[in-house]
Amino acid sequence: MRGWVWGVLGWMLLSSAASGQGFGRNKVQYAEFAWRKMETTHFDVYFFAEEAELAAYTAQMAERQFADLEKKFAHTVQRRVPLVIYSSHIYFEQTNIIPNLLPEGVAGFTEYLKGRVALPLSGSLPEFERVLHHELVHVFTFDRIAQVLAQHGVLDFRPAPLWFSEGLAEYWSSERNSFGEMVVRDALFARRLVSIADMYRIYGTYQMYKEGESICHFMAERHGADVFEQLFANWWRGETFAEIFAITTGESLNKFDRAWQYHLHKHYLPAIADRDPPSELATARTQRGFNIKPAAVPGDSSAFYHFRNAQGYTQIVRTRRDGSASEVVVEGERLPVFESLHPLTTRLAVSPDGQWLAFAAKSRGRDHLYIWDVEQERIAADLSFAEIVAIASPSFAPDGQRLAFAGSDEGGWTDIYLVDVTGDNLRAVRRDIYHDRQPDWSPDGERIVFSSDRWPGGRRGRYNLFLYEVATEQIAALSRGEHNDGQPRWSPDGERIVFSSDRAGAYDIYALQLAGERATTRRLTQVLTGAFDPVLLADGQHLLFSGYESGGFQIYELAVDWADSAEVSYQRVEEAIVEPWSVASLHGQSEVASRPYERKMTFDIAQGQISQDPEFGTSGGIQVALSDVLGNDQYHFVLSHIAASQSGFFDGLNMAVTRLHLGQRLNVYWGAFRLNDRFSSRFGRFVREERLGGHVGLSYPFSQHDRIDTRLSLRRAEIDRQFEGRQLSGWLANNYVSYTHDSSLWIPTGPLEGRRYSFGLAQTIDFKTSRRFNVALFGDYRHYFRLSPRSAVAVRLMGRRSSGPVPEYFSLGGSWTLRGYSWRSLWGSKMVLYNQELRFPLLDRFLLHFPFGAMEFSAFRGALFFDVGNAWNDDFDHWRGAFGAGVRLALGGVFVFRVDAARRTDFKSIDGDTRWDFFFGWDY
Amino acid sequence: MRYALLGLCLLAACGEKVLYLGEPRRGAVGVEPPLHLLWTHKMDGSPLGHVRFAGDLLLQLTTAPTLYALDRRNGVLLGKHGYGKMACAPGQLAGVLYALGILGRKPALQVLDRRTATERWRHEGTFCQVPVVRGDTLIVVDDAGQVQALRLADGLVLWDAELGGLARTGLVLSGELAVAGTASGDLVALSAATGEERWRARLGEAVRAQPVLWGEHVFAATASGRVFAATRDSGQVVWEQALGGLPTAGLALAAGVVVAGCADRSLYGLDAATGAVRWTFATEGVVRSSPAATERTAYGASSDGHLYAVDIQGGHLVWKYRLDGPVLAPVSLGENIVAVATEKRILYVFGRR
Repeated sequence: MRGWVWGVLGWMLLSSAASGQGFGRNKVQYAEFAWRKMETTHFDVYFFAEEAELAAYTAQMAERQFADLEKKFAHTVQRRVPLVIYSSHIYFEQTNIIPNLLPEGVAGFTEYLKGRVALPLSGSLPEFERVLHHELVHVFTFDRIAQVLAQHGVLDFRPAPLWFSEGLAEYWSSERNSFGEMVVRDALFARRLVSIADMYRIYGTYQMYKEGESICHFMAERHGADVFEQLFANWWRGETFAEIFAITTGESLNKFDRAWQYHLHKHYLPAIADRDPPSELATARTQRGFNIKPAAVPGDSSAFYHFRNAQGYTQIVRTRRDGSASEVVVEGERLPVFESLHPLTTRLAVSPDGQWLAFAAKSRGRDHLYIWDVEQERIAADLSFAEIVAIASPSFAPDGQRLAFAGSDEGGWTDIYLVDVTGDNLRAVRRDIYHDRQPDWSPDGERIVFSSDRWPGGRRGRYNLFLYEVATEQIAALSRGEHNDGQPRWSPDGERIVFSSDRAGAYDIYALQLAGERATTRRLTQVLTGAFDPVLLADGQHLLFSGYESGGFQIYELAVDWADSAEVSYQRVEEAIVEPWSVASLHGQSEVASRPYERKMTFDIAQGQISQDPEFGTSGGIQVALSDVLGNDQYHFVLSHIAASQSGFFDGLNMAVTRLHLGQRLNVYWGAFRLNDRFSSRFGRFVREERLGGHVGLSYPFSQHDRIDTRLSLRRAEIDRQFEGRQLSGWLANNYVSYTHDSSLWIPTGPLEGRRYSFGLAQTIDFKTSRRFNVALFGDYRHYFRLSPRSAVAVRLMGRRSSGPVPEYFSLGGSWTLRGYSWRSLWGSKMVLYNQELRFPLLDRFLLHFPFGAMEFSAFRGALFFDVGNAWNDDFDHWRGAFGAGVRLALGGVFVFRVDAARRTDFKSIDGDTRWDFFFGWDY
Repeated sequence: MRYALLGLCLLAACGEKVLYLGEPRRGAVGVEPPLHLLWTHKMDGSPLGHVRFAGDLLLQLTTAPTLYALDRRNGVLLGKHGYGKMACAPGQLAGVLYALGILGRKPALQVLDRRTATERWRHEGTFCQVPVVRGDTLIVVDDAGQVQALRLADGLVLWDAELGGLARTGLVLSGELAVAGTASGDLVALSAATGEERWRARLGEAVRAQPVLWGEHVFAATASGRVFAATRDSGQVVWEQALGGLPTAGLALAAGVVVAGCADRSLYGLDAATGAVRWTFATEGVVRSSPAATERTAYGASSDGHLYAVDIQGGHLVWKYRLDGPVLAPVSLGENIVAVATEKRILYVFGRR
């Protein structure tokens, strides 16, 4: 039917005063950039002025990678590839290239409407290079498949399965790394390894990426390195990946799947002879959720701080070692002030007197360094720096008056900074391209140990440990080797440094002891999976670390026997090389000329539809969307026509155009429309309205959670409200203002925790006569009380009231409002509704087997509910209620199948009939 | 009518020697630059395989699949025949018959009588390599690597043999020897008369360029871009040379130079006797189009949309022509003409005026 046309129109025009309060978190443009464009042979690199150095490097690197991928695919991408780069993940999160909010775990993406690649610099140039290579594999994969299908006249696009496209991108963009190996090894030992056939169960997860990479490794080993080129060449010959694979290799995908799993067993099982999972060699100090980055309290071995994520939000928690108590110190990710605590990339610091906690958190578009007063339970200091966008891993000096931390500037370069706790005297230890991270101040205050890629192997993405002498400002290399040393922490007595390293193939904890110019290193763990973030407790004899096991992180404690001298290695401490590696373009040797960005609109989508309706005849329409490369400016056009119209061509023509400006924090949209809503049966009543007019709207987000919207429209309206028997016409001005908050946490079927609310005011007046048609007030408050990790009570209170000579009408009834009553069966100019619903899990996996295959659903949930409300015009008659039970089945995305069985009640008696409601959509 | 026209066209080709795919293209055919564009022809699909020449007839199969028959002198369309099923390799002319591997629910080698365009017989299997003709026998290799000799008259299987791996190249026939490469890295020589295995050279990785038999040697290239020369009588490898990436599906050989295209955007000229790289010629795009060579000139086309002619001894650019789009299909040499078709579905024919 015409649903898609009207849906778009409704979204664009927000024509009903009371429909303006759409929920959802906001993408906030905290920063405005002066964009530029750099053209290379195959790429258009888009960047802003502050990241000019990075752009020059990107241009050079992208061309090199393009040539590499040409060889791997034996294919060239003929179109120019737009590359949009951001010097910080915080800026990257503000991109308008895709509308989605980008989680911190997203290192880059390739978008297929315009074939754009967008990625941020995370501090490490080799990592940036790896991510770019990964994304370019996607560009080539998509282009190659499209080319092969077009070459052979195959019209339906056959995308690669996600595990394959991501696995291949990982396989071709990097060497096998210890972290990825750890994930696969753990999956195998924890019996969580997912076969190719069941890969949908881990769709889109890091495990899927790493299993996909492992599969591609094995595929190349078994069928030759050119197997991928052959798969793409044969893409037109099969309708499924399994068919294409069998044609190419002569082996069924099922057989290959079994062979891969057998290979993994053979490869990894011997490791258990020498290594143990964390739970076998140490004592778990946390159990619930995801726990990481322990921080010891100086002088107190009874408790420690750490990050915890047990219910979807990250918290800073204080946990007693004996396991008797765990208290939340800081609640993160619910309020704008701690929008993100970056638990994966930053550490916590405790002041020497134990009174303060220092941590980094994103707030208002950049990272702040917070000092938290533990006793007062409040922010003692909120430090932010104009030149620093991202902050990580603070560390207190022993006097408690200074801090060291890793900071990233607007150009994307990450260095160690020192600053007073008052925010004064900020200075960088070095300002260069090397990725200095995870500083830890020695107990004597004279030195700072940190991890960095400032050594020749750093060009290959390897990190070693370095020592900064505060007095002399000299940097010495503490460790050397083709491995990754990180997360160093001093022992309380200052004699040792504990750190995590993958030098033996898996991440283990090591201790380094300094004796003059000699460093002695010994291994403290032999973990089957991985051990990270070591910290010695105040007694110096017990070690806390984050251990990976069964797909998650917990904090473990290990008693250290310092007398044990097994596996000791020695190294000289030498002065660090000043410029261990360089990149030509960063020194201006191969810069490509750039010019200011010129906005150019190109198509995103263009689609058309013709539909037949037995009642309303034939209708058709087209929808077109255009935007610029950055997605900051967008046009949306809708044109439809009702061919069965009796009153001429123009009478049946609907058209609308909306322009959106999203490049600034204040989002602006405006447009014009001509609509003939001739048979919109609003609230089950026949309304006919012809509209011709324009509109302008503003939306200002205060944060990710809160925003204010306002809109003004002016339209010439011919309204036939047949249910009232009156016709109206005139120039109507409608405006509204609303405030919306959304801090809800979701699962596939709907919200589970947090709050959402929206309230506002709207009015419609006859512009010529200044006569007010109506004034509408609306409010909607929803609160989700978490009962357990997967169950909650949801409460909604909603009210609307419209008054005036021509009031707006609101409706109730149906699955999403008042269950047990027919869809929009209750209506009036006033409405109130209260819902209460218990949401709980029923089945985790719901598998349907058919002769031709199986379908599995991951979220099958139940609900018990009680609804009460009514809609009325003049006098309220009585409350209408309903109660019942329902089930929800998440089918993917917006498609949640809901079935509710309800009994009505007027609070005097209960109706004997059970009413059924079916609906596709999320829970309220 | 259409079929009759095609039959007429194929009849015209009957008296001509067919240039089998993979045969060394020596200096006898072909033409030296500078060349002129003689004509172009727009087709309904991307080109599939070489252009075939037969007298005044020029044949090109497309992915549609449609077989075009054109007058080689002026490009006039003499006829075309559309197949209902997809083809994955160019067909082969064999006297009055035309053999083509077709896909679909029941993939098969379909053999048509060119005079009536009616099916004479079909042989089930997936045949994505070009068959070769030896007298009254058609020798075919299927995707799984089974080689079969079929009697041309009725498709009767005369002998069969296993390559021992998936077929990644077509067969090349020279005298009593039929040679093919496998995905498992073997170069296998069979007796063309009996199918008996004569020798097997293990090259270690998938053979991706169709072998070329010339003089006392067999030349082949593998997936990582290593070119091998092996003795014709025993398969002993006498030299190998690494290119910069995946080679083209076909090699050309003339004037003692093995010419190969490569995914590293280059054309290579190797000394046929020693394997030494005589020259490399850089293009602006991936080279997927198999080159062709005369005694003086190597012709190569690139996805950069150019047809290049380079001096076969020194690798210097002699002549080039800007086409309308990238080229993936091989360059074909006919008597006094060079033909190449682009992915924009235009067939270009060059020659001397």
